[in-house]
Amino acid sequence: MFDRDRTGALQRSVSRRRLVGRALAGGAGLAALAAVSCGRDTATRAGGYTAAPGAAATSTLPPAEAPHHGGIWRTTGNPPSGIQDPHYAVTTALPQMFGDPLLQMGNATRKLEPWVIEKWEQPDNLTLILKVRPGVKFFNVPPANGRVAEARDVVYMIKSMTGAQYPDAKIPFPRKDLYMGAKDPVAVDKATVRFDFTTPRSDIFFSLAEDRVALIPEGLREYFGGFDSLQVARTERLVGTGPFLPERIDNDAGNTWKRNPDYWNQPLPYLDGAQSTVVRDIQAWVTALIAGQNHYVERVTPELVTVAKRGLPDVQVVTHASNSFRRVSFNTRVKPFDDVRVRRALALLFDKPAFSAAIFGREYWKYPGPMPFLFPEALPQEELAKMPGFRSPTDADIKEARALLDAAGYGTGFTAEISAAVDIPGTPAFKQVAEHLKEQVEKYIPGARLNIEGITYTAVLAKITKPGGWQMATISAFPEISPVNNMAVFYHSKGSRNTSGLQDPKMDQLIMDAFAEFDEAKRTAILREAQKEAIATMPDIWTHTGLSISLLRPEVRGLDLGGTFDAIHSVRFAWLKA
Amino acid sequence: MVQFIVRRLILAILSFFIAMAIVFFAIRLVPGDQLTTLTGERVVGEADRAALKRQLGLDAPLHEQFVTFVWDLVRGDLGHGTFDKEPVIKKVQKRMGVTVELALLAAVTASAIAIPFGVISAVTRNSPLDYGVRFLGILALCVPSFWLATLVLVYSSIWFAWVPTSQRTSLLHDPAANLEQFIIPSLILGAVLAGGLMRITRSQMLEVLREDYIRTARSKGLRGRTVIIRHAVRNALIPVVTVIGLQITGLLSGTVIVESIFGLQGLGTLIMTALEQRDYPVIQGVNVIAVMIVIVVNLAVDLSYAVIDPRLRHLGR
Repeated sequence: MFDRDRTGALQRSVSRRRLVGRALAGGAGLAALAAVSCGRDTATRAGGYTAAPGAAATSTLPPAEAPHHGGIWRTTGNPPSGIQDPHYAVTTALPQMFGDPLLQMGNATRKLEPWVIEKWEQPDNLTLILKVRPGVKFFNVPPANGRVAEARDVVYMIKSMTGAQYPDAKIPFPRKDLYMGAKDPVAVDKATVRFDFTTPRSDIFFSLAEDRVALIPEGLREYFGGFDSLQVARTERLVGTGPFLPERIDNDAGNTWKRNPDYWNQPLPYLDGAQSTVVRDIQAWVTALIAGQNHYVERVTPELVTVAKRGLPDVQVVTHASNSFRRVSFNTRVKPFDDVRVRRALALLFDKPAFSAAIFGREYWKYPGPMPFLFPEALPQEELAKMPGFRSPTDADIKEARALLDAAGYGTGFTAEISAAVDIPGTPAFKQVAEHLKEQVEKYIPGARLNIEGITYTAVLAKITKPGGWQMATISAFPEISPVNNMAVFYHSKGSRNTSGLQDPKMDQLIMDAFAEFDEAKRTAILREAQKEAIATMPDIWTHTGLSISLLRPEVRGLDLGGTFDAIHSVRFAWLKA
Repeated sequence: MVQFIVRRLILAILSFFIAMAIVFFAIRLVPGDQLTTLTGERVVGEADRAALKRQLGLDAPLHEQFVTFVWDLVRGDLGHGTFDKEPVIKKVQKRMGVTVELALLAAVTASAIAIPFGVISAVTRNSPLDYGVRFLGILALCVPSFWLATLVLVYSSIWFAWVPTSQRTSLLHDPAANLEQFIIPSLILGAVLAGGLMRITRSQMLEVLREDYIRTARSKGLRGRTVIIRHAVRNALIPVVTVIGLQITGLLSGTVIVESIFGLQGLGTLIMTALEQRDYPVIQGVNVIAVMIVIVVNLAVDLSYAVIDPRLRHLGR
């Protein structure tokens, strides 16, 4: 089925580009979109990530408009998947509604601000003292009954994320990487948490700002029956300090929330409540937006922007860095990809600019690299643009690819298999990635043959988390909140998401150096060197990336859209213009 | 007659267990399991992987898992969802109402369109009207329901800034709001089903219209309309009704895409989520219910045929 359509991706790109071109010619909408995208990108680049102790919590409201209370926030989306515990879910949208993170991070600016943690001190590189803000109250329901949050709750939260709270539980604890190198925190008194580290963690503030988790009262799980009692969201078990109280939690149909009148950070939230409905079709999300049943849709295609603008001419279209990290992962443990020359040769042939433009549209793509471009520490776009393997393959690049394969002993060709998910639509474009790579390799390398194994994404995950049984796979992931941690989990030899099995002592050292470097400029330099090392060892081909396009109803204000988190991150700041 | 019923019952039970075996083993042939959903792309060590498998009950040999599944089934226990621990039977009960309502409304819509047009088409055979109706029938057969659904959603939102709400309202609590939610999806499903049904109605009518008793009725001087409605249509409808029954059975497990597009939380979306998460107990549970419905309906049809036509009882031996 794949052979029949080998050139599919790029051919489709032509029609897609034409379509976008027509849309551009037809109205000002997408032109405005392009302008917005440039502005947002610049803003993201300008953002540093030094924490600002003592600064007041702020939102991202437009300065000219005063927010006001009222209205119900409506969204449509997919049903939740897997575990929903606020500390060991792979992904869940619930914590942002009923809970609070320890620190707050601007989604677009990546600036850190105090939140539940009000102040902190770093007496040395291996010690961190956190002070809990007074007056942060849990909901007035059992078992917290409205008591204020204390240091012991913070300790419980962090130990639940690292797994230290439940040493016998064998679940993977997906957030444990946030506290890599940290010893168990200790509650010194009611308001003070002490953190000691075995290795320095210059990026620890990002871990504290992870927003897909929530502060919950110590012993909440035990109150409801044990370590797995929060794995499924139930109305009475979502006990946090957050802006919204759960009214009805129904994983099958959707959730309703009402404003927490006792929220510690008044006047937030501005909304009277929120309502989410389970709908699986992205086009239905857009039509619901037009009809007023949905306030926000993210990751839409330019075609859907056109549909939205036809039905709702004053729809707000915002672009920002994409928070997906898409790549072809090589299994570096098996032949022929145990040889870096083979990996580099294949990377040289993948036409990233053409492919990215085909998937995202000519105006909305970026050069993909070992670190997602949403991080200011990522290698600059202009630098990537000049590199072989990132620019469109030149004659010299093709010649080099052949020479590398020759030197590796595969000059007369090789046969390999690439596992690609065929059940995920949209910009991940797993199948098209595989098709494009196959087309390029078979075109330029005589005797080379890539077989595509079209399977479901779940099946791809099942393969790549094992050391053997696969050669190449097209995958995608959300990046970690910290740029250092991001490099660590994907490329450190012990990284929890190092699916390629890369074992590179130099890379390990660079990552550890970055963890230990508290000077921001020097840390950025180390991280850039680490990215160049990743390019030299090429455990992945970073295939395509672009700008994420979001649609908001005209009345929506205050939503902090950016590259790191989904929009639900900032519903606590959102308000609806009358 | 008793022997006929016993034979059919044994066949039904056998079919049920064969279907269950297929469901049980087929889903396990697909790469990935609950463990994959749980771990995502994280590399999990072999020891932890084994412990997790034990927790999920995936460590036992496949045949042992199957025996456990069958034994639970015999005791009426469909198991619990892997992630939410909710009994599967409760999940199915919660979703069943949506799918049944959608299926029944779609069948009513299909019948309301197909029967009158099928009759008109047969009565006006080879006329422009007949060609027109037949063309529409083929068109309905060709148009996939998801395409029609997307088209209706997109254009109703653009032109009228309206789409059916996806917030579930009970039929008993607020019939008007409930109908508002269900009318478009059931019209779409009904329209698609109507194509085939109309062609069956037409061919049955043509056959009946050639029968001697129709000629006799006409020769007795009955009005054309009376002959058609009282004599022809009633006889032509017997196989049509059977097909409608089968269509409802099919709809109970076949509305996945329309449910997904319109945000209806029925059995279709339940099984789709379960498949994505490799939630074996839910996949098996929903299939148990679907297979049971199909088998019971078929059994009822078989038995009713035997009651209606005594010759079948003897053939059944």
